[in-house]
Amino acid sequence: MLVKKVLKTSLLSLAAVIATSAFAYDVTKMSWTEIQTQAKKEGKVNFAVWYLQPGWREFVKEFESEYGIKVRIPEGTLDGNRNKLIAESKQKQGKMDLVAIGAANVQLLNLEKTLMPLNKLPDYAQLKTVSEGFDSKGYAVTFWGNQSGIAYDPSRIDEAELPQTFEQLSHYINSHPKEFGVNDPNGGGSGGRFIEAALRNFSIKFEGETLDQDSPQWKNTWNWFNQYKDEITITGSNADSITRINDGELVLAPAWEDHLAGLQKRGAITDRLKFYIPVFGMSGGANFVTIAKNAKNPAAALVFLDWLTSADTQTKLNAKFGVAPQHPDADDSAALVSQNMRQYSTTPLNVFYEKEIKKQFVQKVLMY
Amino acid sequence: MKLWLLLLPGLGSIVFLMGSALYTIMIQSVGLHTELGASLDYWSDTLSDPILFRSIEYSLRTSVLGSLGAVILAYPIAMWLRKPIPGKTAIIGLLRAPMFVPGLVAAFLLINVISFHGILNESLLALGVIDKPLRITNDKFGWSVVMLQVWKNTPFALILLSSSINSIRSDVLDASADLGASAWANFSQVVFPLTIPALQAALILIFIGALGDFAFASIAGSRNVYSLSVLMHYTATAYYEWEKAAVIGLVIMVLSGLSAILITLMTRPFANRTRPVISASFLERSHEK
Amino acid sequence: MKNNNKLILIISLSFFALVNFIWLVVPFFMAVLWSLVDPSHPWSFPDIFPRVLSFNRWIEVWQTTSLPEAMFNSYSLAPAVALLTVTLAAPTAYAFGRLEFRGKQVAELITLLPMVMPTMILAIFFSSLLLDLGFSEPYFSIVVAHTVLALPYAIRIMSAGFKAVPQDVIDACADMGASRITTFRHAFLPMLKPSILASLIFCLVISIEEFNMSYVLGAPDFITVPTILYSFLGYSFVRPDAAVVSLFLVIPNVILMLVIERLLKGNYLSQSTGKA
Repeated sequence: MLVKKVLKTSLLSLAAVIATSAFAYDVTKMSWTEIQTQAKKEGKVNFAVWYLQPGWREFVKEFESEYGIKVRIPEGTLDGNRNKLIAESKQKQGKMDLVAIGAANVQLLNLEKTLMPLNKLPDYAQLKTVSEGFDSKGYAVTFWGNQSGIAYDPSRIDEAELPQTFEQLSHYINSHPKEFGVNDPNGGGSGGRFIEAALRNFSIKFEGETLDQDSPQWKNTWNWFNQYKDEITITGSNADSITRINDGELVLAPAWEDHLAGLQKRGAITDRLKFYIPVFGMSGGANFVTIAKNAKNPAAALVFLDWLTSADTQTKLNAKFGVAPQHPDADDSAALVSQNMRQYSTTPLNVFYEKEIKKQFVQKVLMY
Repeated sequence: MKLWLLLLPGLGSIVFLMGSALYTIMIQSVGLHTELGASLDYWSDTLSDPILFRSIEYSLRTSVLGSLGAVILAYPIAMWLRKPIPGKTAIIGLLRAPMFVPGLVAAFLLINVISFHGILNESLLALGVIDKPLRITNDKFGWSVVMLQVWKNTPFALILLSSSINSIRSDVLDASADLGASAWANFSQVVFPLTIPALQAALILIFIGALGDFAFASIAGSRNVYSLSVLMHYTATAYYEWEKAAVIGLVIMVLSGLSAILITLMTRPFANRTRPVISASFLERSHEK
Repeated sequence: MKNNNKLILIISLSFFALVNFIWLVVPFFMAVLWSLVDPSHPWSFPDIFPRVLSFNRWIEVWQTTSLPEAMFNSYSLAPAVALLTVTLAAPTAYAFGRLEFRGKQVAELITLLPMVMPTMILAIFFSSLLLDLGFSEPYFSIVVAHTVLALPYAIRIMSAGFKAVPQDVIDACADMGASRITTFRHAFLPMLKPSILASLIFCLVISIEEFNMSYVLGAPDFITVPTILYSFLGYSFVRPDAAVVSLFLVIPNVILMLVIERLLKGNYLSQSTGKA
């Protein structure tokens, strides 16, 4: 234990030397113009977003030239970024500025201690602080609409034949073995969202019913998967599923609307692939963006966030990535899904289910 | 005192890092760092989980086949390389190439070749061998991982075995050939026993590396079972069950240790078997020279 | 008999060529083909060949992914690891190579531990230790971790080097009244050069190739060459992009390999295992 203590002090002093000086200013007490001037002085900002980073790097170029602030988009997974945010929250100054998170993740954060309140933003009143039923209490705003659904290759299945209920899907899987794929929920969220849809269909009896970890109702869902397991292709990640449709191996697979559109816009896969939300319903919502309380470049982070959530930028996000805009004044004509189909979008279950789905699916289906 | 100073930087750093990691694993596997205090529940929970045993089975299967495959492939090549061959340096260079290809690139190359409409399936279709493409990526058994282990580790085995085979004096081999030994007898009675130490080193190092494999398994491995390292990684970072991850880590280490002992014990008897083709005394004499 | 031998040689060489064709040429050819798929004309089933080939994707990947950053990180980590490792390994290697002491065998065995311990275990629990200590500077943690992984090789190679210095050369130097430093410079250094060089290169390769430690300790945003590859092959798998990144990474490795072959004439690995 003594060794540990000595180590700790020596490492901490080392860290203190490495870290730059502590805050000289407090953005929460500055006016917006002061923040803008301060942002120019900081000159750079980090934006940790866990998907489509190459596309983001292109997208933020406009901000960089307009404001003269460099934006760095680091690599990193959602879990990795969130864990780092939590781990760094104990320090006086961290290395993260803006962090994008899935809506349910606000439950895992100690909001007051980790995040900066965002009410300084000029457009704050028009932005959404609640997503998928999770209230960020003003510490996060939505910036990216997402929708899970099923991607398909229209050259290999007629639109009229797309499975809309679980009976139809079972039938499809039986008659087209291995052509429906689901990704391992540990490798990407769309697989988890499909499992969640199955859970809604087979296990949860009424809207709002909550299952605990050991509830026997889980079994109904796992039974369905086990019945068809040999005829379903399990893929590694969201991207793996889409790639396999592109390769002609799969015809249908759960995917994210924004991810599919993003890959298509990048020329990674063919434009032919389409996306639908089945009538049995799959969940959608919006991702949050937050600023770390101990951000290194707090003013630049606020200015970037204001730009990111503005009506103008949201319209461009829709055009570039095909996502649903989050600012009420933005234009959303470039999405993959019609407004009519959006009615089948459901609210996702909470983060408890997310973890439990991952664990139980592995235990009761994948490796059963 | 002086000796200590000499050993400290090298040996000390190793002991420090290995020791602190081991200490953390031990402490966490019995939950000593939590508020609840020490308990063996994590052990009994993890060890009674059938998933762990599927992972053990899968990891053992792929690493046994991978390490055996690599050495079995390396022996004939090493024997072949004894002979004078035009362009030998270039051949050796080509053989070593996989060692310098990052393992992840290797996994990508393989997946690319065996994917649903990859070149393998397309060629077999064109040749009329199959009429529907085969689904062989991420196969349940783990053949892809075995292939990758063999691909990546054969050069390593080859280098160890080659240097051992090349150090056998050629008059020993010539003598046994003169005495009328067939090529096979020559190999099994002379070469093989003399290369046992190199074989042990190659098998143990490749086997333990393969047993702890994360990258190959997570990219090319089966989707129905995780390798031990993948399971440990998810247990720690996706389910936040560090205690159980520690137990899995210790299980991997125990398995590694046991297999090293087993490999040594199983190969040792062959080292002494030199009798039938040429007399033992002859070999001993020539060996002493 | 002679003709027969020739025939065998030809057969074996052509067999070698065929196997290598499948083993190396085909996989790399496919990767090159995928990397040349034009971004505005994606390659999808049922096209047997890509419709348009161009280098555009290479340019795009270089400009929009963090590949340059990953390469910068990897190639700045590796020399630090190499220098630190060789510095730390030298005294221990000297003790192993030139001194006799009790427990030497045990000490030698302990130095081999990092070679046989699965690195994922080390990575996860080393990171948990760092987390407890509140220390999060990925560059330093990865340098420390890679150094420990490279130490067994460096110690092995250099203690063989120390062992190989003939005692009479050292004695001769001492007889001529040379100081310790002069003895070291004239007797040890010239003989040690190849093994120091070998250790340095070995450490470079280990650090550039190592995935598990970099992945866990660098998470989420300190990326190295293998970790960016992992994300391109796993979470954000996009086949043509992955092909470009893979090829980008193989090129420096091939150059490194050629340098090693040149410098060490091929027997570097046997040195590391002490069989030279």
